[in-house]
Amino acid sequence: MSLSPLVLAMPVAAAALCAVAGRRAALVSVVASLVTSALTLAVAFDSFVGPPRRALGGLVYVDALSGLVLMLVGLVSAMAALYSFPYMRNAVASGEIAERELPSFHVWLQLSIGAMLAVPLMNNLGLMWVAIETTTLFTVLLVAFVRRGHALEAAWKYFMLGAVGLGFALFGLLLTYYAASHGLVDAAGALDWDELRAHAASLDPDLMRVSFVLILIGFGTKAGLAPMHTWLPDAHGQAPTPVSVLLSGALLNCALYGILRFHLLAAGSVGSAFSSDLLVWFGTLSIVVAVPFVLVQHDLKRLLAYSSVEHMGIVALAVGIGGPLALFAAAFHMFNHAIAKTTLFVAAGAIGQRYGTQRLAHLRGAFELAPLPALGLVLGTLAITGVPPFAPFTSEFGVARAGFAGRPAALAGAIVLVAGTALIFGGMLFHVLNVAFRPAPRHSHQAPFRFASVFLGAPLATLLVMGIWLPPLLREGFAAAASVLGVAP
Amino acid sequence: MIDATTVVDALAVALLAAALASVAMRGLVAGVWLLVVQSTLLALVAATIAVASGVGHMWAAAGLTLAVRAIAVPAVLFLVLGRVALRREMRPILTTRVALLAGVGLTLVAFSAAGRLELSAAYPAPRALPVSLSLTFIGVLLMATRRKAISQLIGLITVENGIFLSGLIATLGLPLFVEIGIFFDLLVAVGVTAVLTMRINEHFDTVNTDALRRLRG
Repeated sequence: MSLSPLVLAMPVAAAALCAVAGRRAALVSVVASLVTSALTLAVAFDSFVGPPRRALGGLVYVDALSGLVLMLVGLVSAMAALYSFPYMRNAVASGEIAERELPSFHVWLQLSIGAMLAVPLMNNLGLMWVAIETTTLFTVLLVAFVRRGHALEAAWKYFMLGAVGLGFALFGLLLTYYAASHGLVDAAGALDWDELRAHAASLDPDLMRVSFVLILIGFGTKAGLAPMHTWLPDAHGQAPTPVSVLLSGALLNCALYGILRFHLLAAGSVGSAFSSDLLVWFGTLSIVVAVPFVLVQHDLKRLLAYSSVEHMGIVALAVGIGGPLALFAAAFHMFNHAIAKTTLFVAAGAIGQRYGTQRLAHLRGAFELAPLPALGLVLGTLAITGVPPFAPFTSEFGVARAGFAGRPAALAGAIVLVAGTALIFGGMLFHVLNVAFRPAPRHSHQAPFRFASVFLGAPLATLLVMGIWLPPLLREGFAAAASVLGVAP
Repeated sequence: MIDATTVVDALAVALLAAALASVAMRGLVAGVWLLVVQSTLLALVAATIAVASGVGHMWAAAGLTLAVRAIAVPAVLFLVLGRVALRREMRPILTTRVALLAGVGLTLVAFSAAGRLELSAAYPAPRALPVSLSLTFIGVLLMATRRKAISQLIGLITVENGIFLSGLIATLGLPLFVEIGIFFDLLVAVGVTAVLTMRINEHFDTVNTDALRRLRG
């Protein structure tokens, strides 16, 4: 029996419980997230070693690519729920959030998590679209949870851009349906992934070209690919930090997953060059766009958000480069980015609460005031910027190596990747070292953060170990996800 | 005997007129009423196709369109308008005349672009496809040139209506359960907007999205 229906049911049940649990909502939310996370791991590991599985009468389809994204959402959402515990307590203590609002925070959090988990599980691409749209709706409420002007602005921008983007994606979906329902596939199953994949070669290439462009623009908006990324730094920067964790580590991967599915269809219909090249260009552009904003950044969380734009670009670039090496690196890098960004946002959140601001100019001497978060921030920055022996170095190195051996577009992308990551390494490290080691200000807030060593140490240790030794199960998982992503040249 | 294609074409042209009218009008209440008109026309298109094609789930699409787009969504919007005591779109970015010209221009672009697409639609109504494209363009125009959160939402729903119409024409809609999912999302989206609009109003004492221009870099 497959566990995937349980994965879908858990967050919804948890949301309902949180709504009635009153003061215990946070506890319910944390426990439920841990259970959900364990379930996603079970489903994901099963998909890594076995054939694709179906459940709920063909509604759910899980292959290794779904498994990878499902695992990331599971891990990151558990971390977000856990971290919301100390974060929200401090936020209530500082008067930022009223205590009676806490249960509704956890209701929205659980519903967002549920929608994100549904994205990789849906066999029907139409329902996948519905799930992605639903993630926007619930996360918008989380971004606007603290009723500051800036947070409302960020939420509104996120909502409008997300909605327009998803409108584009809906048009793209419609074109795919049109292409498939004309005589190829039985109309009822014409959006089912397994059916579409089987018939990809006979889909009308002209329609699929237009469809993929619309999907890339639409889901690319949500995945934070430049130039549609403009909502992302605002939303990541203004959201309560546990929500930033969720957006950056889980949501972006869900949107990227949507693009990847359509990339496979377009490649099957048109030939791989068309959609692969588009992915290379958009990925490269995202890296380029992130550089100046990282270098002259004034806000710690926005700094991390632009780094997310960069890394989504790297994954898109890797998939566009193609071939076993680059695709393995893409899967590996999705994992690395999710884990590293989780650490960084938790560290940034803890430091931010200690100072009562996210402005880089005011964050000084964190090593004195909040030693563990400061250490986490520095080490996390080293990890995400590709310093060996952390795992992101391995995956980025894989992308670059595959790019240098590839076609001209891939080569150009790889050159930009190397130059861009070098610049971003310098920029991020400069900001972060200033935060950690410049003389501390006299005033700071009390913001107790217990178990900081676990929150920050566990993910960093994971990245360190995986940079040196990749557990066989995960290696198989990344390889299996890469083989799902493989397209004939 | 008038055939169904003519009816669908006529409804489509009326839809276009309603969309252009919402470009021309600045009253927010009128804007929401025009949305009701748009959605009702859309439901009629679905019903006409249901009669003509005999496809059962088109009736469901028509019913859902009427219930969600023509009744539930406008009801929420009227509720919000009542709460925030706001009547007109002040100082839009384009004057009414320029906006209307832009709307007509976009319509012409849509008609010429749709003429080039050689789609063998499941339901051949020659006017409907260009109209659906025009609705999408006009919706984007509304979103880009209006300052009130509600006007921007009206633009967004106009975009959605355009996509929905082209779906009806090209493929007789999406599979029913996907359609239901989309309607569900639309409802939640309107609920979220209502919450956000009221919070913006509460916080800034305005529903101008102008106040929302401070995040940079």
